[in-house]
Amino acid sequence: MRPRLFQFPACFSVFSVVVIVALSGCGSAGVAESFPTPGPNIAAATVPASTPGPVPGTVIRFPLDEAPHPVITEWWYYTGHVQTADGARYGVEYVIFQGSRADFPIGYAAHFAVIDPHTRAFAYDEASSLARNVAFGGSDGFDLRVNDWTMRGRSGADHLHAVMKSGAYAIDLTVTDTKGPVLQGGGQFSYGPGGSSYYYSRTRMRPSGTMTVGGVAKPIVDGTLWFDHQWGNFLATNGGWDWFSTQFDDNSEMMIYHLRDPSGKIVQTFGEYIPPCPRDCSPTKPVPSVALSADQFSITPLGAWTSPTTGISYPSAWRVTVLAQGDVPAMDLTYTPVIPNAELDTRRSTSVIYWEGDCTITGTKGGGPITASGYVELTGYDKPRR
Amino acid sequence: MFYAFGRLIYRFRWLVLACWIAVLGIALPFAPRVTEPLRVGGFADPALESSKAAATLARDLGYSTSSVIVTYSSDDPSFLATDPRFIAETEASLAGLRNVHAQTTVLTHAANPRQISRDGRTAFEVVSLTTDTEAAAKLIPEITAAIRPPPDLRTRIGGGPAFYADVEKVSQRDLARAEEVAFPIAVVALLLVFGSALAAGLPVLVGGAGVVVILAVIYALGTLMELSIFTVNLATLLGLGLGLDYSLFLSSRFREELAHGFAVPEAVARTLATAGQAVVYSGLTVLIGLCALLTFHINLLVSIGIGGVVVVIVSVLAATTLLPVLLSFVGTRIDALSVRRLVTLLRGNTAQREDEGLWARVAHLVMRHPIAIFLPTLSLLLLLGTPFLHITFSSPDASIMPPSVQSRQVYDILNTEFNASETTPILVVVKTAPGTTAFDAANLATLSAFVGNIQADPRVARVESIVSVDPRLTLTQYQVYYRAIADLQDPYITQFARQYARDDTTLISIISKFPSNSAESRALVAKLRNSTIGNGMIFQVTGATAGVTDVVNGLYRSFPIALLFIVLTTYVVLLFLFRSVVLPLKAIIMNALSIIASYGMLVFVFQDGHFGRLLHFTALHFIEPTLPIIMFCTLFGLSMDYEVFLLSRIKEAYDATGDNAWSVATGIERSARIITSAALIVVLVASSFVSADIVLVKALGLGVAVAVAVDATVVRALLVPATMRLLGHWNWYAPRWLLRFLPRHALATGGALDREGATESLYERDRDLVSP
Repeated sequence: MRPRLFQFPACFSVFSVVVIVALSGCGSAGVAESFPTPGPNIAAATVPASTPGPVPGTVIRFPLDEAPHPVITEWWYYTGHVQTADGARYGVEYVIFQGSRADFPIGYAAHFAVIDPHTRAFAYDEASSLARNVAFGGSDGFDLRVNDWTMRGRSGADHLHAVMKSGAYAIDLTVTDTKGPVLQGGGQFSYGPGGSSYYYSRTRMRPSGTMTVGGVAKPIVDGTLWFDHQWGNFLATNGGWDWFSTQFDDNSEMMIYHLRDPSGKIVQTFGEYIPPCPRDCSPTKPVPSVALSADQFSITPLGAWTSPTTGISYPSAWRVTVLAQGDVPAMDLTYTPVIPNAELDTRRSTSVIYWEGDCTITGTKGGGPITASGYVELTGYDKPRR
Repeated sequence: MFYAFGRLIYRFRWLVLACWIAVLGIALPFAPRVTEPLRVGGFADPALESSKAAATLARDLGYSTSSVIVTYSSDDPSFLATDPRFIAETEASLAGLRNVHAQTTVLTHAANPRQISRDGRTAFEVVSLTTDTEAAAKLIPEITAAIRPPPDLRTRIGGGPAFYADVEKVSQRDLARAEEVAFPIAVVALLLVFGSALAAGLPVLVGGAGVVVILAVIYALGTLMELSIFTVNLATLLGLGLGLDYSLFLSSRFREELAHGFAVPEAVARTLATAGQAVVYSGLTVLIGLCALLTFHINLLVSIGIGGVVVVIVSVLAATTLLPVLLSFVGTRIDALSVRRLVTLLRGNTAQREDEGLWARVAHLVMRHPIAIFLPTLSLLLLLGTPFLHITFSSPDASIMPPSVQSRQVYDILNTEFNASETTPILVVVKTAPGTTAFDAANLATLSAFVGNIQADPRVARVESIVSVDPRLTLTQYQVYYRAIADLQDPYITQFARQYARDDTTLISIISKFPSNSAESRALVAKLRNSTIGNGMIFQVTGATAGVTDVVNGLYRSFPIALLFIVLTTYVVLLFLFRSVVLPLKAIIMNALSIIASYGMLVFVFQDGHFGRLLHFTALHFIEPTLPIIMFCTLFGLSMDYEVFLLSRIKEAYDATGDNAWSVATGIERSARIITSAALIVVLVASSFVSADIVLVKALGLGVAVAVAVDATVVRALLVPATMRLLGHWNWYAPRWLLRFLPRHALATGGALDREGATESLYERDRDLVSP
């Protein structure tokens, strides 16, 4: 007997097709959108030479700009010397770096170094920490902390506290600006295409408080510190720099600066001369300064020192000459490190090895003899020249 | 042929027994070592774009795909990961890693603050190994021993290698537990079915012997080729299920033949000619389903396919050679050690006629109202399957592990205390034009523009690349910094550049605002793949989203072909068996319905998270893409098993009487006890896998249990009689020209063997009693 065709439920075959289609359709995604292809951009591919240039931006405001900024790099940097009641003189470097990268927590690194010319000792320590929810801006100045080390300041009245883990040295200083802030390069310092920064200094700060040596706190009776505050969206350059601060006995100051490329070639120079304080100096009012042109001064190393620890060679002792121009007198100065070994291996906190030391400065200024004190910083000597 | 084979088996029973003892003697030492050569991974296809890109990343950028994640958590709210003591303690904790016999690099949270939790109390350290994840997993015990937990912090070890090591450990534990649960349950079920300890013992003996041989063969194959560790789980499940099923079917038939008064040699031959033949055909259909897995390129599927093929061949061989031999020796003593009183008590009176049992009465009831039963039942099964429509696929991660396992705890910590998308970025591997490097100014300019376009997409949270290290840096700055990359002083950018670019290769890592499984992230991958960078640069996309997309697309591009293969070959086998063009199609559709219902359950339970507390798991929110395929291929075979047993009994009755409705009812009734028992055993064995700690194994167990249960109840009791009643004589239709090509007695029925069989006389006697 042949079965009747209509009895065959057609839904079976339809169903089997539906099953197969449903199963085979799983997981398919078919969006045909695309990102635009960048066109050839020769101009963007041409990197300009690393030369200084004007930095767009607003002028530095006090005390607003003393506070931390939401930028890639910022530092608060004290160098100089203090004299204790027992007549001893110590070179001091105390700096806090603030690093902000992408949306990471803010990183802080601090270096604290002391030079004791009497014992020819050099000691340093470093610290680092991370901070979240940092409040940028405000008119309360800066209030920085890296673990137990602190640095507070507003309108040139600052407080510094740091203790080396070894217990060898500690500072508990109040430093007061006696001259007023100096806007380096007008307050805007350029690294060329590598970035730009804002930069001011307090070139003559008087310390008070105590210097603890081997656990013994010594009152500070005299001294001069130099303070730099620099910030911007820049990174440390690929080469390095030689930085000289000079505090003349006639109440004037000078800063000179060489930036080198990886081959050691000087690619940028910067100089600023700060005449003695005029009558109406104020810690919140920038003092007048004179920019030195690149061909107005020269820095000539007179010797070299090789670190027994790292094997890195640094220039040691320099002759600096400055040509007279306008308000800037002619100068011929010799910088001699108080001790040659002032190398800091801070790879744990900032990944760099550098030399930074107290120098005695002698020579002539405006034709007459002059003495001065100052600090020199040398970076980038740990890398082979290319 | 099968009758003659049965005679032969009886004649050479001692030789066959000796062969089996020899085989078992060889297999026994290797079976317990089965997991030794097996691998844990194998979820991806090395030919996929995402796999190739991942290989490029590992080769050209040293991008480690096998990283151990160590988390440290502080209970003290004031003891934060930024605290120098915290950093010192974690560094000291990992100091012992330098003594591990593998090259390790550690990225600490001190170097990458993104490895600090939102509340600051938890940090994770990334220990990268140069070996692949599989090899790294073997090092986990050594690594764990080298990590010294700090006194103030809770230490947990996770990441890919730890996950793999945990999978191996937990799956072995699962397997042992499942066997401990499944075997006694199966024995009790068999006792209840057979009512005699000896009769029940035979399937256990045969099933057990089969599993030993299966595991030994898998061990041997594992030493020759890469096989997944999950092969063992499936092989055990399927091996026990099929072994017991087949033995049950044959033993039952043997007792029937003895009851009909045949001597032992004749009963053995008749058993093989009927049930034995059905088992071979049934095995063939299961084999076809599993062979389809061999068409895929994913090692896991191929492994399970190979394992499954081994299971079917050994199970069929054991059922058709070892069991008949044992039956020959046992003979009429098969009912020895009777527990019949208990069984009778449980089963009630079994002395009823074949068309008067519960199953026959239900079948008659259904066949009186076929449409009224068919439509709601079909709708119900389809309704059960509807959750499958919103299935979401993803690759297995530590969420398949129980919360007590450390790799799962680390996974949870990373997902809850850190940005989950951070750990599953979309990775774009860029190759620059020949002769150029990623740091060339022109390439940086092009990359910068391309990355800028990506960043502008609203679905993108962040892009990490050598030209987007920090949004405050300009292209020119990057060009200056990278001009002398070796002299870069900044540790952050230096590390970034080292990780993200080398020579002609650079990586763009895209963090989506949406989970890696989301449609948005998948659309992003598709958009990237539709794009070009320019300046001679080319790229490939990998990462979790691309990986899953590729695997799913690859799988489900191949699946219809595999599906078609299964359906067509099964159809042909059943066509030969039943000499009908309609019955095979009906059988396939019935099977598909059970599977669809179990698919729906799979999504409803494991993806959506229902019954999580009952089954001891947390919602996966995804289904592992290979699972539906494994389930389809396994279930299609298993369900077809019962369909073949059932239809062979119906056809037996139909061949004898030519009455469709009566045959359906009688066939269902005659096969009822065996199919119910067999299905019950498979459901119980599969359910024992629900106790597994690995959610994938749990899902497989539950999926199989549900599908078989639905098949043995709803489909068999309601849908089959309703459909066969609706189809009427179309059930048995085949064109005359086709019949010429089909063997006349493919299914050697009891009626064919016994010309004056009980079937015909019973029908003649009761023709007027059954439905028209």
